[in-house]
Amino acid sequence: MKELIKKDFLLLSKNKSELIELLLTPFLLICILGFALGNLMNNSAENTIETTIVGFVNDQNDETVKADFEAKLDEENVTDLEYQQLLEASSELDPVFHLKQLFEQEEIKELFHLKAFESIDSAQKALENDEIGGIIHVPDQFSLSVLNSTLFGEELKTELNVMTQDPNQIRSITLTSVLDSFINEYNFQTSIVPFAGDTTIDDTSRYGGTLTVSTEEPISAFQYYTLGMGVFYALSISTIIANRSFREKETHVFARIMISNQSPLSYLMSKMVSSSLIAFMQLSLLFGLSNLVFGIFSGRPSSFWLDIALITAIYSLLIGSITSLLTSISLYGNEIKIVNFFGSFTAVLAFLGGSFTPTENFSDLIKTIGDWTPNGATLTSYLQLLMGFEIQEILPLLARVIGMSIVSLTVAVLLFPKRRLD
Amino acid sequence: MITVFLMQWKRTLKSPLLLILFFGLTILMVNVVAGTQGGQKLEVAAYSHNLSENQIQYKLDRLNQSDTISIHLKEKDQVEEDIKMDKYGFALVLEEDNYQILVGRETEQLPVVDQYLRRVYSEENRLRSIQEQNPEQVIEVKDHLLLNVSSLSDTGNSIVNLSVMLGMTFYFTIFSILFLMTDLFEDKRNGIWNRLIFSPISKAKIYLGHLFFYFSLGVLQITVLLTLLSQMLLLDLNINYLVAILITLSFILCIVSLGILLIAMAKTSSGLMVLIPIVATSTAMLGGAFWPLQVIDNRFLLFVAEWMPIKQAIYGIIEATVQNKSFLEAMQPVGILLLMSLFFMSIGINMMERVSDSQL
Repeated sequence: MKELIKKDFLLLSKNKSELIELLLTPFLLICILGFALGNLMNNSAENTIETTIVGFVNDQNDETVKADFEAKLDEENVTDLEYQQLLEASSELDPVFHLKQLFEQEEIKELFHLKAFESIDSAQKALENDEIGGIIHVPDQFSLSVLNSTLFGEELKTELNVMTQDPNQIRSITLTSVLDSFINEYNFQTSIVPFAGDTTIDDTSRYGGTLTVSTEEPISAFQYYTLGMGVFYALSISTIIANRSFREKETHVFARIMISNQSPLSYLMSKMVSSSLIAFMQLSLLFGLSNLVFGIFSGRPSSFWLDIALITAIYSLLIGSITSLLTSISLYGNEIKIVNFFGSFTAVLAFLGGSFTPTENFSDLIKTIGDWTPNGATLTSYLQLLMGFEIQEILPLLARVIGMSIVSLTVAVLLFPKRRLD
Repeated sequence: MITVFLMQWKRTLKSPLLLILFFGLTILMVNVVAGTQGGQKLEVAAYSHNLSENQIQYKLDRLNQSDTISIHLKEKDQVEEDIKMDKYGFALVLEEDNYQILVGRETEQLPVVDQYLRRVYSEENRLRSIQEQNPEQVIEVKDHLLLNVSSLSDTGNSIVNLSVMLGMTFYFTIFSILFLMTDLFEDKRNGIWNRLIFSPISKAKIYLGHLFFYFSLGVLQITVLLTLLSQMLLLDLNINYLVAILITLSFILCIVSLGILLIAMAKTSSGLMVLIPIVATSTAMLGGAFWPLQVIDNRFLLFVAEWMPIKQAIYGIIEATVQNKSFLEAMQPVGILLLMSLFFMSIGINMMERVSDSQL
């Protein structure tokens, strides 16, 4: 059997480009992912976010706000004392003043830079030409309307307008959420003014502490995708090796091996072992390189690496078993199409097991099925290890993976044509 | 040409098992895609150690006023098990005047939920402290200032779902068409290809016949997928059907041509099997099939995305749906896809001819 495995590796190494593609593709995909979603996934400070220029269109005349409000006060029947107080309040509560102050804050300055525009049309043109990332538009009589609403309880006539290119852009989301919390804070503060008086109520308590399920830090999106891509891509090793086995039968290599007095089962086992070895190599390369280049598992103790090697070994054995199952089926039915069919099936398995997108948006049924797919069960085992669970606690899931290999190996042995040599 | 086309279909119908498996897989895929289209709201699980049932109910009512986030109560053990099994990334631990987040895996929703809760809790706490100082008055927060958000191209939530749905469908189609096309290797090996070449049919007709066979399989598959999906999900979108159909057809043609190119490049069927997942997955990732392209800021990647057939197909259909494009403008992706097909096919056939010459 040793010779048979050696033969498989010699043959694979004959075709260098295929071998390199096989071993390094998952890492290539991870690199694409890192470039595409890098700034989305690392919210750390080292990742400098570009400052977005935001167009600011002010249709109201800030100078006349005070005069307009005074005119309004003249209409209302207020005593002189109230007159003074309200006038003072109006200058303190002016929303445009607060809005401008918001964009003077240091942390906001890093994100957005305001650029004044004459009219909404010119700003919109700049937005369409991608010169700016968003528009804040203050309509005419805005401050007055808001002040009337705040101080006299009148109905609100205008709104603060925000325009972005596309609501799914990161900068659009950030801009909208910054303004959203500004408005909430403004509404809150102005609502409590009559009761709290001048004292603004600050809340210094810390909210939302992070708890973890076990000892380790939460899993980052990058770690998730690396593992997901790895387990998905390892599946394709099965189709490739099974395809090669069928080819060996067609070119009578298999028959010649049988004549040399090898047992058919040792041929099957050699396929299993060599594809397990390739899967193990592929995954080790992926994890090793990702750790070197992107530091995905940096700072983990050596026991962690032992555990990850254990899970990888168990999964590689499953890949080997699937390979032998596919080999058996294709030799049994004398039909290679079944192997090709499994190739398209891996795409479905990838989605089911959450290799491309985390399964949290999926229905419960899909999630449960997903944890019974080879890649899904293994992915979750890796995740549990990353969360800091001990290997004993992951055993139930690993038992599933081992169970799947035993089942596929048994079926493979039963199906394997033991006599027919044609 | 028609003879070759019909011959391929006859051969396929001779072994119906594979065809049944093929459509079985398609229907399985429909269910997977449909299963990914969860509710519009972000579902978040929560539990509490020390709050009474009434208090929890009050908190949940207060927190569930948002349009985008829906919080529901679960048992602590259940939540911990779910996070361990990665059913969701995080859950909330509610307390009287604070909350904590139990995180197993960081997701992009986590900051959104955290910010929302922080706001609500902070408001509640401050309101309560003022209420305590003024016990006889009714204090409530009124909206004195409102925000009106608009955007140039409004891809709403249902459109994001549409792009995920189309992305998964097209990705799966690339996979299955390309894997089906590995049969061409069998034909070459069995000598069927040579027999075809020696027959009085012209080469062009042989290629076209095969092309249309795989094209028809792709059309069948996508039709089944999208028809079932739109029935299951009750998508009520204002899709420009003519444009969508034309884009889909040219996309399938493009994939079949890409298949010919890959077959010519791979030389062996196991080599092709190495190539298919690389090509399918990397083009799908670059073309924004798994996540909306709008989240990518890198200009180079956005430029590369333009060259991915899957990008042209997905975003062509979406843009035709969302933006009021004129028919001619909406047809631009069709033109690009057809040009790509021509490009792939001409190089592919050229290479294939050379390879077969040297082999024979």
